[in-house]
Amino acid sequence: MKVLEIHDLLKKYYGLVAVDRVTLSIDERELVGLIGPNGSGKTTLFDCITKFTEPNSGSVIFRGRDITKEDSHTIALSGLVRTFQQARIFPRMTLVENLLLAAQQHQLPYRWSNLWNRSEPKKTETALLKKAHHLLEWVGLLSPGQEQAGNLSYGQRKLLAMIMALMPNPKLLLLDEPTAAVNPLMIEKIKSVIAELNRQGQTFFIIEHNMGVIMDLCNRVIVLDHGEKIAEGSPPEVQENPRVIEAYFGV
Amino acid sequence: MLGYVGLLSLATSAFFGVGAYVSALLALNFKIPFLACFLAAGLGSALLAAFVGIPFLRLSKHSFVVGTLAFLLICDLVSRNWTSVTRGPMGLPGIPYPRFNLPGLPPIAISSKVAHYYFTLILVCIVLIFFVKLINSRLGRAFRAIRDDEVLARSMGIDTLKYKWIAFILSAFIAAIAGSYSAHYIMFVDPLIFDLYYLEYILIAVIVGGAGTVWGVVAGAFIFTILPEFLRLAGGLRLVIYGFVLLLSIHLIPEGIGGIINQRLKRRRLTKA
Repeated sequence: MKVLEIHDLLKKYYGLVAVDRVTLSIDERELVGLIGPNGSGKTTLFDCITKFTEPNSGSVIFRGRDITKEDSHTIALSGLVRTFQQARIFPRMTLVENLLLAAQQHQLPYRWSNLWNRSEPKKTETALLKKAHHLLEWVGLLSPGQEQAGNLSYGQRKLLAMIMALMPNPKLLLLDEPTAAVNPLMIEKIKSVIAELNRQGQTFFIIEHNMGVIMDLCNRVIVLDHGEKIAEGSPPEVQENPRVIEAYFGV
Repeated sequence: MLGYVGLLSLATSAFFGVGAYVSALLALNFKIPFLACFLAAGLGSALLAAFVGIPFLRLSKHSFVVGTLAFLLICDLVSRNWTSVTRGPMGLPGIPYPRFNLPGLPPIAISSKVAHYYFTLILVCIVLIFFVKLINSRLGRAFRAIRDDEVLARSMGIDTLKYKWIAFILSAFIAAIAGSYSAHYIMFVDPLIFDLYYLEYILIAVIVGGAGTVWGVVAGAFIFTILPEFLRLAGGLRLVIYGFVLLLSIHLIPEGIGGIINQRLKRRRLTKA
């Protein structure tokens, strides 16, 4: 089953075409990589999918539903969750609060019934708390669980941002450069976390510059250059594609 | 309140004034008991905030500040010129002091200074407990998330516009009940209640206390209420010294008292760990 389908997506900034009529699709349980030189429109494509920028034309279908006209927060609630390149977290909240917040609108939305039925939300909150601790332990961030997230190192922030995105059980996870500017040890950690989640059935769409990560993890790679999709296939296929070599090395 | 969603609203003192006027008019014209006036003032202002909040919150952060200032000035003009209702600059004298006729209890009248003191204390405690509970609830968590990173909050499914709207309404409610009580305490309301003096007063408490902290703001309000009284001894120099202390505190503790204390606590926790 197709989780995500993008048809002819176009995003222009005045004269500059950032995303040039891109069409692609992602199947359930896939781990798809999105690569391309700097400024090739990868992050803009993510922004268009999650509506942090408005595409000029084209459509985005998520699990059979057209989400092109929806707001960012409704898209997130429907199960399409993204992370950001700059490892965004809530610095003045604790790690646990960061994680609870990530899931609360999905699993603990305010309802009028909360006024008289208070045990139900409490039960959910306890379950979420347990899950948060479990995830923190899993990625090795447990010791500072009650610490302010602002005290974390950059690599730890990337990990936190990723497990925050996992909290609401997304149907599709868009990761924007999960290993950029992270030390080699942390890269291995992040890689193993992604691989393990994919084995458990999590679908991923990942922007990545680190070829090692792409080659090891992805079943399929899509290459963008100047906003245009220039290649698609398994990692070795893409590596030998002349257009890709040209885009990267200019030969 | 709004410190927690990271918005600076100058309309808070407008809602304070609206609450005072609503309460005064209901008490004078319809002889409605205090408790009903008090709640009506809060709910009325909350309703008003719900309406004006929709366009205001669509503005950018800086335009929002100017927009709310404009709202304050509009309230001031309305109170001055709608003379058939507000009596304009002559104000509304003779507002009765708070009286409670609770079933099963003897009627309580709050008229003496001591009674006012305890009533204020109880009111402040209730509001503070409500605040602390709120901040640690899901709603408060969403507010703090919006303050820290609005884009990220949206990516987590938080409808930031709606939450800011709720914060705006809540802050209007609290400002209005405070305004209502102050009208019944002073027993007089006039357009000066919309004067920038009150606004400065609130802002000083929040900025020196530390926006987005509860106890910092309480401390800020405490210090800058007591300070001018102490400075009476200095006579003509009073306002000069007041201004100097204000400048000094902004320069030395830009994050406010609450911010400083939070930092200290954090450092202590770090050295322990």
